[in-house]
Amino acid sequence: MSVAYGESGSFRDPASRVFVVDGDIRRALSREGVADFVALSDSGLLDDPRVIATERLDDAHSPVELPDGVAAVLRHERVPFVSYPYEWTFSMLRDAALLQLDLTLAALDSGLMLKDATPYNVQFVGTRPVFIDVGSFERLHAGELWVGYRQFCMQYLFPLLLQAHKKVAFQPWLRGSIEGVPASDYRGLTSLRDRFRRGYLTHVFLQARLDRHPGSVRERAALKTEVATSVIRANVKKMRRLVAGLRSEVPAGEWVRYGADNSYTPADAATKDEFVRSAVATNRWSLVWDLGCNNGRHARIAAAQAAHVLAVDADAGTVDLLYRELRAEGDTTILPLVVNLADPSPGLGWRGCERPPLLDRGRPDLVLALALVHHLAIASNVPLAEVVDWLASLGAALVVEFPTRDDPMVQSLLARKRRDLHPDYHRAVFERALAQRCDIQRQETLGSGTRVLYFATPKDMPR
Amino acid sequence: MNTPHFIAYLDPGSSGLIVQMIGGGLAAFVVALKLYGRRILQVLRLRRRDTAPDAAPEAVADDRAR
Repeated sequence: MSVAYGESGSFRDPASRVFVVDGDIRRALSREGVADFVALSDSGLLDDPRVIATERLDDAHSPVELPDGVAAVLRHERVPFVSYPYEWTFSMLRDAALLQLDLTLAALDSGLMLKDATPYNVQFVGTRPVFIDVGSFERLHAGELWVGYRQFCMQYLFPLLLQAHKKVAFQPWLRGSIEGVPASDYRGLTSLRDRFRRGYLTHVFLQARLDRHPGSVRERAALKTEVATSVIRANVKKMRRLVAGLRSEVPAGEWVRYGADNSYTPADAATKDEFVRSAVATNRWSLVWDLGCNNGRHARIAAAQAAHVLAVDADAGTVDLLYRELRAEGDTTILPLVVNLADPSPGLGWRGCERPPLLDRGRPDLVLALALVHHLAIASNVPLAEVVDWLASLGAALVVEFPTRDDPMVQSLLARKRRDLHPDYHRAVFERALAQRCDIQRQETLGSGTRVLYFATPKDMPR
Repeated sequence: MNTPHFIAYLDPGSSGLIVQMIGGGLAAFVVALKLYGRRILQVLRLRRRDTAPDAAPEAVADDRAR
């Protein structure tokens, strides 16, 4: 019996709605939506690799309803792992913004337009941004302006400006509101210097002031009959120049240089790489999670034996560097994300389900947790047994590293805390907890003697 | 005056439309001044706000519904 349900984040557009049938991603279209889709197909844009691969099905059966009825059903290629802008780095959000703008210009050339401008319509396959909302393309309506402009500012431009000009991480702002950052909020953060920056007068100042003085129906009706496509094109091109020129210096946080400047001897680093390599080689994995990925060294090792790798780290600067390296290599296997594992993305939006929690968006079959346990247990004060329990609950094979109390990094973390605050942080406690939940297949102590590596599998996992 | 037919499901917000008109080239700028000159001057505090605003209550509500 097939399992079908409506996608919890797809309900705002009355012309199109996504649903899932046995893991297959499908989209119901209204009669208007079909006419727009036919125009998109005729334009050739549907074959553009920047747009998710899509086909029209003969069967228009849909488990979801649309206000005007369902006239056709599409099937989309599945994205390996769904991520959201509050988990992306600066460069990822900027690349998604440029994709949005480039597709808008391409659509205009074909007499089409995009009805919205939100980063939730972009997903990353590895480091390749892909536009997933085929239902966003519509035929250009005479006299209508860029409807998504305001949304673009709130969800792309102002978050990018926050980081580029104010050195404020945008992720907590986008996680705080899926609507994005209003012009008035961004304006409140600007300084005298910002007032002379490109785009400030119109996008920030004027928009914030006009937001406080709503216009009348008369004004808006007159506007819609007067404008031309050239106005949209001019605005989109100007916006593209502005976004393309934004830069964010990678903050010199302690983790940016950690990959090259850490407490491992070259021999220990080589032993660790070899341990990971041999554990990874025991299987062909569909989804590997590298938790606390840092410079992606082990995510890259895992990628040799995996269809997809999710590389997460709490340090946005480090993840941005990794993204830029992988993007330059054209990598489509490793998806780097900014995630604090002690505070992972929760469910957001309507009913708290519109954007599901990170942990509900796919489960790994292999987890790498290298140089991570001590941070969760000591820096974040999660009891050691709880850390192991959580790792085991992911239901995947596990490569985990335990740095003992004598390790310099552990000593450094403990030195910041009251004495005897972490009496449970011992190798024996860790091994007992791990053995309760998993079968330990292999373990190895690095030459320094302060770090132990384990390869473990869940007790009920077939091998 | 005809009531506008909003095809888009997203409310573009009139502020976003005016900003686009201003940034959309000389011709659009002239149209924007013609249509919105009074409102822009009010927002920039170069002209006093009318005591009886012409915006109908439903228009204000419509504008605030994002």
